[in-house]
Amino acid sequence: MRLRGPSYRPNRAKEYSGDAGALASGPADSVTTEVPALVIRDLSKTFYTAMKFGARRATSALEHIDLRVKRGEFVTVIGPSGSGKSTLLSIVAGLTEQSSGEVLVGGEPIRGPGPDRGVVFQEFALFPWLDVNDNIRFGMARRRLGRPAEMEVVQRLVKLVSLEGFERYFPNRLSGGMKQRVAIARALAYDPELLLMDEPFGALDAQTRSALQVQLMRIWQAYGKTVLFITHSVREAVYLSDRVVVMSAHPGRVYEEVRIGLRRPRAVMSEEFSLVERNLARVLARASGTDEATAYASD
Amino acid sequence: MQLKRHPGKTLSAESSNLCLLDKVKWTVTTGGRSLLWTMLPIILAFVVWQLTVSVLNYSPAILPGPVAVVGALGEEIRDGVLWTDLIASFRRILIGLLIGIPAGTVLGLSMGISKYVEKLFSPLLNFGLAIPGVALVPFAILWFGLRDTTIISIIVIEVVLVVMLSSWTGVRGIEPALLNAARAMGVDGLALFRRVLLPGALISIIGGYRFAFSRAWRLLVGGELLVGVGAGLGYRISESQNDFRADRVYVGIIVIGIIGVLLERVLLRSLEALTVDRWRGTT
Repeated sequence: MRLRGPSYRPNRAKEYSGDAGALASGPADSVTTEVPALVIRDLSKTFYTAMKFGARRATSALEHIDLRVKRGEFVTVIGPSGSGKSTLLSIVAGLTEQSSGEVLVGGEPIRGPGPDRGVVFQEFALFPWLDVNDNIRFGMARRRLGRPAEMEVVQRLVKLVSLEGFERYFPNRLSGGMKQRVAIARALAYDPELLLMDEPFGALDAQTRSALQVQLMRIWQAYGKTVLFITHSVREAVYLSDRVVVMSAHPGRVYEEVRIGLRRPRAVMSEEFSLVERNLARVLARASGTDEATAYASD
Repeated sequence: MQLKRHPGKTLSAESSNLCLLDKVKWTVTTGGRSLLWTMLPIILAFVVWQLTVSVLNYSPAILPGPVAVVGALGEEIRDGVLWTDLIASFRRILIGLLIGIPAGTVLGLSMGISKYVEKLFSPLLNFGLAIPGVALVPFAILWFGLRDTTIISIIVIEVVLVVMLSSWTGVRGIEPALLNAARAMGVDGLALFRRVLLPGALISIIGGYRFAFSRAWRLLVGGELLVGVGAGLGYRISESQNDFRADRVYVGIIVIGIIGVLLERVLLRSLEALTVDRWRGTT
């Protein structure tokens, strides 16, 4: 059936033999023995496009990606188009199958989509035939809470994303910003450990965008979720993240990781903020092979 | 004369302050006005028709006046012919739809879901859609003779094809982002079908039912004209023509038109208003 997810073969490339403790004692977190929320190990993805006479053209979207995200960490992936950011997120979400390498969520290799990950898409992807409440409830069936408990969670989330009074509205009557808030609530509703956000604010105007960034920070701090966030915007990356992964294109590789040490809440107008921002823009420019001005222009 | 089109529009912001009497008044005036605008062209047409008959003095064997036609309608009502015809025609179209709609929906949805079923059926579907339904009448006569089944069978074929197309395109038109969102939330297989594919295709499916109905209505009349089955709205037109009853020919045409409009605009349109209209629009 075409519309089903890809079938998942067991990981043939590498046998994952270590236990959780051994995994966490890597160089990055030498102190803690906690299992990282997300581990991506030697991940590659090659797409094949059909050509004439049965030939196939191979395009390497991702090559040897290694990434490790701690529990509760906010990590942003930034990079020029063609760097495979969205493919990376789609693989972690379980919607696309990798060519080789492995993805561990909570220490377990993933097999397709799972309730441990919530996804927020750029296109909102709300179900137009369901009202706000039912959209938020969509993924909750597998939590098996029963209706009263479900509605309680929904009510709490509606309040969290400030949509009180709009519970019975269908998506066609909501603005872009409201839609994306519903989508965030929907992803939080089944309580995933990991929140995957694929350029969630990319389709919104500047004001809505910064309002939602502030709101997302509030939610992140209140819920303590681990977030993997894709963006084009340098400012957004600096405002939101603990750590920014800068990728380069053709093929998609990790170019550099930048830790953002600014204290929260972050003031976009402050001098230290623009310093960090300029620094990240410079790294991104080098990764894209363009000058710094171009990196800003994509903001 | 400049008519103010929507007198209620400006009041809508404070509609909660209006008393019941105002609301009733508003409904009656706007409803009345829209009824007037529907009826006016029809009344005009009748006037022109009557004038043509009176001035040009056509023979009533070719063009009877509206008064004579209304008289013939009354006659058909009194002697019960109209009711027998209506029942016969409705029975045929109802059976055709009851068989054709479920079959077409299931086939179309499976085409949307499975690319193998799609590959299997899409050439046949395109071929079938290219054939005007009435062209199948002689073929159906070969199989079933001059019977009800003949007309019902071509209606079934027509309905199946139209509904198949709309259900298939309905599923194909669902945004990939919606499917990804559902899959990311662990919804797949039968649940994906019930919770995403079916509602996602519903606008197109219900639109297909409307279209199938109007095609079936036309085909019914055409079939009844060609297949002498003893009763039916289309059959009555051809019979009346054979009997040199021009007034009854016109009655037949007018009755078919009125019922078609009523069913399409009132019944099927309300079905849409009750279901998909609430959330039609953007995602």
